[in-house]
Amino acid sequence: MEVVWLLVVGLLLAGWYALDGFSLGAGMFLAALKGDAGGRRRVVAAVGPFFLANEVWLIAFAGVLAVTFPDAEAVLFTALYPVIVLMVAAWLVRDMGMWFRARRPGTAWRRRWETTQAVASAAFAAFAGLFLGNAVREPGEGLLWLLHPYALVSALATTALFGLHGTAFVGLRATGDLRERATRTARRLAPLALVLAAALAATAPLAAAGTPQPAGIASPATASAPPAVGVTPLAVGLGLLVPVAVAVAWAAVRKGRDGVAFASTAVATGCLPLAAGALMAERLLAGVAGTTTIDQLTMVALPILPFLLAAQAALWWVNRHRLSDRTVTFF
Amino acid sequence: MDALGLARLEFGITTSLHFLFVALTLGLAPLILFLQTLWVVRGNPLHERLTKFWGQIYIVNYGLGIISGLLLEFQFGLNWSGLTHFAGELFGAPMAMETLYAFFVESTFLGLWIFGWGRLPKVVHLLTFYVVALAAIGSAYLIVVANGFLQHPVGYERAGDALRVVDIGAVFTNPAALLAVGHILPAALMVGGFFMAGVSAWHFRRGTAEVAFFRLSLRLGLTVGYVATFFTIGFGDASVLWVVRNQPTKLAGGAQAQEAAARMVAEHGPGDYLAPAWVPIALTLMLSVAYLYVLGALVPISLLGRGRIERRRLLLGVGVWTIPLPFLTVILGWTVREMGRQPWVIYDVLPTREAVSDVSATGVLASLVIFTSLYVALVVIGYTLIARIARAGPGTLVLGQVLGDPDDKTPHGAATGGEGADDRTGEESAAGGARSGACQESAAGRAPRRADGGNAAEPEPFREL
Repeated sequence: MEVVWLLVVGLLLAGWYALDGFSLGAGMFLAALKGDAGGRRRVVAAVGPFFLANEVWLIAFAGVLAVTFPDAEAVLFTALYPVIVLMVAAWLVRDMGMWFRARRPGTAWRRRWETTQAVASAAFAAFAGLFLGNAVREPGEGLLWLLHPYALVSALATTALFGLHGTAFVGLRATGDLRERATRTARRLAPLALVLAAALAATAPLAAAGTPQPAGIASPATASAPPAVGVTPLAVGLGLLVPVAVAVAWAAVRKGRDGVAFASTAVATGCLPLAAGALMAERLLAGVAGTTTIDQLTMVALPILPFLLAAQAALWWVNRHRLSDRTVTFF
Repeated sequence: MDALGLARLEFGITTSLHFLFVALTLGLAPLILFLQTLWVVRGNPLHERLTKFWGQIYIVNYGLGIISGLLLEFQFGLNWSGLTHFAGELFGAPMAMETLYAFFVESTFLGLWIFGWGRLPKVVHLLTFYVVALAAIGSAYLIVVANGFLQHPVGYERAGDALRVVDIGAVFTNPAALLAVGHILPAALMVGGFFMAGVSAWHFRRGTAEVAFFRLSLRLGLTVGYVATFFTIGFGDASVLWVVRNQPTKLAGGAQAQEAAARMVAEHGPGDYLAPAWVPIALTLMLSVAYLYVLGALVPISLLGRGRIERRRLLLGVGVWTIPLPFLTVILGWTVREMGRQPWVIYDVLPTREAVSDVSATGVLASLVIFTSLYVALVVIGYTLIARIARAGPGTLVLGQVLGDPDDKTPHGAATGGEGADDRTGEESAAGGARSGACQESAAGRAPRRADGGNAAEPEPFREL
């Protein structure tokens, strides 16, 4: 059952990366649309229907992680305290940008919140990358510890990947001029994202190597745990899938195949947390909750998951069309 | 201040401000549900406009609730990992269930409701809001179950350095949770009802032309708020009686409290186990406000018939100026509940100081400063915007607007004075000024044409009347 919950936790985070990833990328893309208020309005309209349903994945991840892997969570949250604080702060600001933007008329007010949203989206993406990059390492202390080369590569790669994912999404939902601008930006971003994704996969051994095994963290359960970072074949596979998916997305963008491009960037972003999860699976499993918790939760919480997925699918179905004059707006 | 004090301060500030938004969300949802049901059943366009007007206030407030709630899920992991470790099974499980059963469902269906306007069949669209409202109540229930365990731990046993569930049924039917839900839901209806009535009163003071619109709002808000007051008091009193018997140190004073404190010293070591002395004073204050409504709200209610109240400017003014009162009172209520629990995080089981994470005071201070500033900005900007939308009245309905509608190139901001004037050409401003004078008549005239679902591409140009 522990493994099932590890998968659930992994899927919730992967869901957030693949879904809110494009909200964030589209948010960053707002900055590229200088002097095009109409274009920015359509970008927000493209993301709008999905916005609420995307960010809930990260809340669900945090809630489920805390109860299924409490000790692993405690270790992670203590070591990554500043990163999480800044990440949540960027998240608040991003949401303020989205929610406040259309609540007053006037382009000056809107431009201010669009800029806010763009900057906060980039920051949120970078902190999410920094979080994941450090999460796979042996827990350490201090601010400098957080600036490990691997974590920095992860931050950059996540930002670039989200940017690519967001432009692919706008390319998929928009029409005409805006679609072309998004595709053009995606074509420019793709090589950068590819290099960074490859660098992330290549530097993964850095995260594993050179960190001494600390003697038991937080709970006695982890003291007897096997080496925390094991580069398992699964992690290697998932890690390599990221650059491959980015390459596919690049090719699709060039051929104008919006659907394939978006699907590939979704796979690439979704694989980031899955690869990290596979890298640290043993450490997470060592910090798992007691069997009674797991059993109780399996009974009361697992049955809702199919309903949640169906609700999200319904949302996608209702909003499956490209933008048109009849697209409902709110944000 | 040490990490413990700072972490408590951060938790108090962020949850209190979050609850401001939660209370209005919980209170408005059933009222909007009622209005939309009326619309779907009777097909009266007035009810559609009511649903849209109160709905857009609801959504903006809901957004503020989300933003202020994001941190809370993380805060337990950041600052209170001792609690997660010690009682994850009992406290964390309802929290995790809340994210899945309530928040996830609520957000997804609210997205369907906002963006399904005019796209989904009317009945399906109404059903999505039923799910939203049910999920909101479910959310309140599950959060209070988690909190109820902290107030009155039941259904658990000790297993090493943690707690384990032995009776999940007891956890979910904890009287500390059920009494609180019974108290919080009508209290939220008081907040929502008197808010609706207060906003309507503002419009009557301004001599609104939307008489039928705000008459219904005023009647609905006052009636629901007034009836809810009695349930709030009933469950509140029941809670107090229950607390006196089960949490003797909470409303400190009396021999029973001293006895309990002495027993805690014997069992858990020396310390001050009595809650702060001002807690019972705060409780009295809360009760006084409730009784004030029992008595005071009778006056406007007796004048509801034939719209007599609509001309009483002083009385309407009282309705407007007392909008914040229920908000402040629910915060007071939470403060009584939470401060009264101190110095325990889990009453009589785990002291608060043992739940705080092993983090530096500097780290907590930094996060306290960052989040307090963000929350203050959120509350100030958020309420300014809500007030703006409320004042603008049903002339500017943004729910169900489509991309094809003109955006801010319309005379949208024409009546709002100088702001945004730089964005419009003089010609447009002039047109807006000329048209805003005619808007009161046209607003009424427009209504019947919107009966088909309201997505006609006509502009929604009018702001403040």
